Amino acid sequence: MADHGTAVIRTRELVKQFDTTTALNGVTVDITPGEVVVLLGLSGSGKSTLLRHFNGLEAATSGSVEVLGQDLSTLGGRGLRGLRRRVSMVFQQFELVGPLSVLENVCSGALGSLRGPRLGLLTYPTAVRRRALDNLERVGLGDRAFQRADTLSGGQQQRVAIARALMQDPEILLADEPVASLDPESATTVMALIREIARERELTVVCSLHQVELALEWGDRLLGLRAGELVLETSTQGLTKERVMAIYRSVATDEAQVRELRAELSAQDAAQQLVHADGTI
Amino acid sequence: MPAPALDAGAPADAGSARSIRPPFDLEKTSLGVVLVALAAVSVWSLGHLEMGALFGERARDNIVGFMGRAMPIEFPPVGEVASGVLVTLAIVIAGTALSSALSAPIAFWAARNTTPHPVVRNLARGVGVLSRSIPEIVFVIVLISVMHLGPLPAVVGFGLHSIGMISKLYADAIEQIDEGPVLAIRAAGGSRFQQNVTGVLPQVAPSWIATSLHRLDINLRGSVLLGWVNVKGIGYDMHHYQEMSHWGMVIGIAIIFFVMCVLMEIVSSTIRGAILKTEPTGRGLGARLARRAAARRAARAGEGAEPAAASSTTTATADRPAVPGRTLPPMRGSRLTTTLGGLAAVAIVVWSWAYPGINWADMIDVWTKLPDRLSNMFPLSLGSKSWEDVGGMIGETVLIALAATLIGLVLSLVIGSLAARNVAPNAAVRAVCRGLLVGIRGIPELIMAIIFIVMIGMGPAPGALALGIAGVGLLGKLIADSMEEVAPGPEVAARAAGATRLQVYATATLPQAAPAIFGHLFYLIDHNVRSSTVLGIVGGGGVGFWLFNAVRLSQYDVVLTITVLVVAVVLTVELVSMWVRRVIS
Repeated sequence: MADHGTAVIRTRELVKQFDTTTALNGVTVDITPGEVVVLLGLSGSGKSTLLRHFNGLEAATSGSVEVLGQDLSTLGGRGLRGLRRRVSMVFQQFELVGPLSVLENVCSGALGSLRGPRLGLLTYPTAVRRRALDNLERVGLGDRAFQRADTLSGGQQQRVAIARALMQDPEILLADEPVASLDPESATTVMALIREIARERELTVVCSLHQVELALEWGDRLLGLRAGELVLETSTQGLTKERVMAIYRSVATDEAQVRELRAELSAQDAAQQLVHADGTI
Repeated sequence: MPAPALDAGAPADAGSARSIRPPFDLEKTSLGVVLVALAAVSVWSLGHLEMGALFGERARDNIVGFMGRAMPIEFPPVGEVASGVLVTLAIVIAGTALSSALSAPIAFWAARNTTPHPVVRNLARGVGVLSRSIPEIVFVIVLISVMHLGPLPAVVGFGLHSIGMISKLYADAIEQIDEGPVLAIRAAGGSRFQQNVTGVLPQVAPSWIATSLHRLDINLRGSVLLGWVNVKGIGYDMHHYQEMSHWGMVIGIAIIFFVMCVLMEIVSSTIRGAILKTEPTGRGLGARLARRAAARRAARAGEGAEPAAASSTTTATADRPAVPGRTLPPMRGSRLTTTLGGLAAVAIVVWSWAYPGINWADMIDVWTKLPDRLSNMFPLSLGSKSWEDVGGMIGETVLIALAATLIGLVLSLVIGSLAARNVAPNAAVRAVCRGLLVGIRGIPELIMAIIFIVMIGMGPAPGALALGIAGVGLLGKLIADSMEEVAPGPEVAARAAGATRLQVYATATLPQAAPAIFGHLFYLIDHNVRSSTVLGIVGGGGVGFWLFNAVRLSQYDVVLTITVLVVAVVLTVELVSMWVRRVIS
C-alpha cells in the first residue's frame, strides 16, 4: 500500500520515551497522499503520542519523522510553526476557547498565517472572517457564528473545531479520537463530515479511533498499535466486523484477554493470517 | 445532520450572505462603554496626579538626603524586637481566629444550599459586604474610644473587618460542595445541624483553613497601621521612631517586618498546599524539592507495607484496627499529623489570646459604653466641611484608587503573566517574577507610602503610587494563578495550528483567564478605595485625611458620616463589578 516515493508522513524506527515508560517502540509507517488512515488501539497504546509526532507537538527520542518532505528533527521554532500551518489537528475534547464566540474560534485557525497576537473578532482581517464564516457554513453551523463556543453541544463543538482546522487550508488533517466524547449519532455526523471534507479537499487524514465499526466504515487503512508497537497494518477492503473485532481485541494490552483470544483464534484460520508477529500470538 | 435551532442573537436569514460583524448587544456594548470610561478616567487621574515629580531632580535630592539620614540602618535591641513581633503576631492571629469563628455561621446562612431562608441569606450577605467595606482601622478607632487602649480593640477590629472576606469565601466553598452526602444524611433523618456538621464541614474544611491562612497573611501586612493609633506591636515601634525622625531605626524595623511578612507567607502557603493537596507541578526549586520528598515518602510507605502484607493478613494497616474490637484507627500516619496539627493550631490560638495582655473586663464594659458612643454618632454631620469640600475629597479618594488600579493592572499583567507556568518563556523568568511578587507583597502599603512621601512630599500622588505598586503583589499573583488554571487544550490547539507564543497567549490563555481577571481587577479597585482612605493617616490625601482629623477631634458624628460615604462608594464598585462579571461570564 505504502508508496515510498510519495509518502506525506514517514516514520522510521520511531521511539518515544517518557521518563520511565516507553510510549512508542520502533514504529515505522508510511502514509500516502489522500488516504484516510485509522489508528486503532486501546488507551495507552500510543495512538495520541504517534499523532502528536506528526505535527511536532512531541519530539522523537530516537528514529526519524518526516512530514511533507521535512525531517522534523531539523526544524526549530519558526520552521516548525511553518510546518504546523500545513497540518491541521482536531482533538477529543474539541479544545475551543469557551468564552470566545464560535466565529472567533474558527478565525484562530488562521493564526499561523497572521502576524502578531489577536484580541477580539474585529482584529482579524475581513477576508479571514469571511473565510471563517464559509468554513462554518460548510460544517453546517453558520447560524451559530456569534454564540459563545461553550454554549454548543459536543457534536457542534467538534464541527466548529473542524471548521477551525479548515482555516489552515491543510494538506494533512490529524484527528485524535475526534468522536470519543460524542454520542453515536453525533459521532456518525462528525466522521461523515471528516470523510466528505477529506474527499473534497484531497486531504490526507490520520485519525485515531477505538470504535471498530467507525474504523471499518470510514478508514481506507488500519494501523493497530499495542503498547507502543505497530502490530497491525491492513487495508479495510473486504474486512468484516467480526474479523476486525478479533484483531482489535488482539491489539489489547490486557494479557489475559489476549491469552483467551489466542485459544479462540487458533480455531479460526481466517483470523490467524491477520495476526502479526508481535510474539505473543 | 440535525437542523440546529436558530439562536436568538443570530441573524434570521440563515441562507443568505451573513454578516461577519457580531450583532449588536446592548449589554455588551454598555459594558465596553463603562470599561472604556473607567480606563479613561484612570488615565486622566494618573496624569492629574503629576507623577512626573517622582522622576524630577527634587525627588532625587530628597531620596539621596533621606538615605543620608537613614544610614546607617539600625535595629532595636533584640528584646524590644521580639516583644513587638510577638504582640503583633498574637493580635493578628487572635483577630483572624475570631473572624473565622464568627464567619462560620454567617457562611452557612449566606450559602445558597445551606441557608434556612432567602431573607436570611440576603441578610448574611449584607453583613459580609458591610464589614468588608468598613476599613479595619475605622473599627479599631471606634473600639478604642469605648475600650482601654490595648490589644483587644485591635483584635476585635481586625476580626470584624475580616468577616467580610472570610464569610464570603467560606460561603463560596459551601456552594461548591457535592450535595450527595448531605442528602444521604437528610434521608437518614439527620437534623439540619447534623447535615451541616457531618455532610458539609468535612468537605469545606480544607478550603476554609486555606482561606483563614490567606486572611492571616493579609492581616499581618495591615497590622503595621496599628502603631499609628497607638496599639503596641512592631508598628508602634516603627511609628515611634518615625515621629522622632530616627530613620535608620524605621528602615531597620521595616526590614524586620518585611522578613516577617515573607516568612508568614511561606509558612501559610506551605500549609495551604499540604492541606489542599495541590500537586506541585512547577519546575522551580521548591516544587522540585516537594516532589522529591513526596516520592521518598511513597517509597518508604511501599517498603513498610510489603513485609506486613506478606507475614499475615490480620496485621494492622492504616485501615484495619490492630486489636479486635478497637474502633479507632491507630494513632499514626495521617491521623497523627491531623491530630498534632489541630492541637498545634488550638495552642497557637489560645496563646494569641493569652499573650498580649487583653483587658477581659472590657468585653463586658464595652456593652455599657457602646450605646452612648453610638448616640454620639447621630445625627450625621459634615463638621465644618461643606458638601462641596466633601465631594472633592471623595472624588480625590476615588481618583487615587483608580490611578493606583491602573498602575497595578499594567504592571500585574506583565509580571503576573510572566509568572505563570504556561506563559513564561522559561523557568528562570517565572521564578524571578514569582519572587518579585512575594517581595512586593511583603512591603506594607503604608511603608511604601512613607517612602514616596519622603520623595515627593505629601499629597495624593504618593498614596496612588504606593497603592499601585502594592496592588501588583496581590493582583499579579491572582493573575498568574488564573492563567495557570486555564484549560491547556486550546493552547495546544493554537500551537498545533502554528501560532506563535504571543498569539497563543492572546487567543487561548488570556480569553480563558479574562473573567477571573476582571473579578480580581474589581476586587483591587474595591481594595484600593478602602486603602486610599486608610492612607490618609500618613497624609496620603483624600477623604482619609479628613477621617483622621475627625478622630483626633473626637467628632464621632463626622467619623460615621465619612464611613457611610466610603461604604457607599465601595458598594457602588461592588454593584458595577457584579454586573461586569455577569455580562462577561
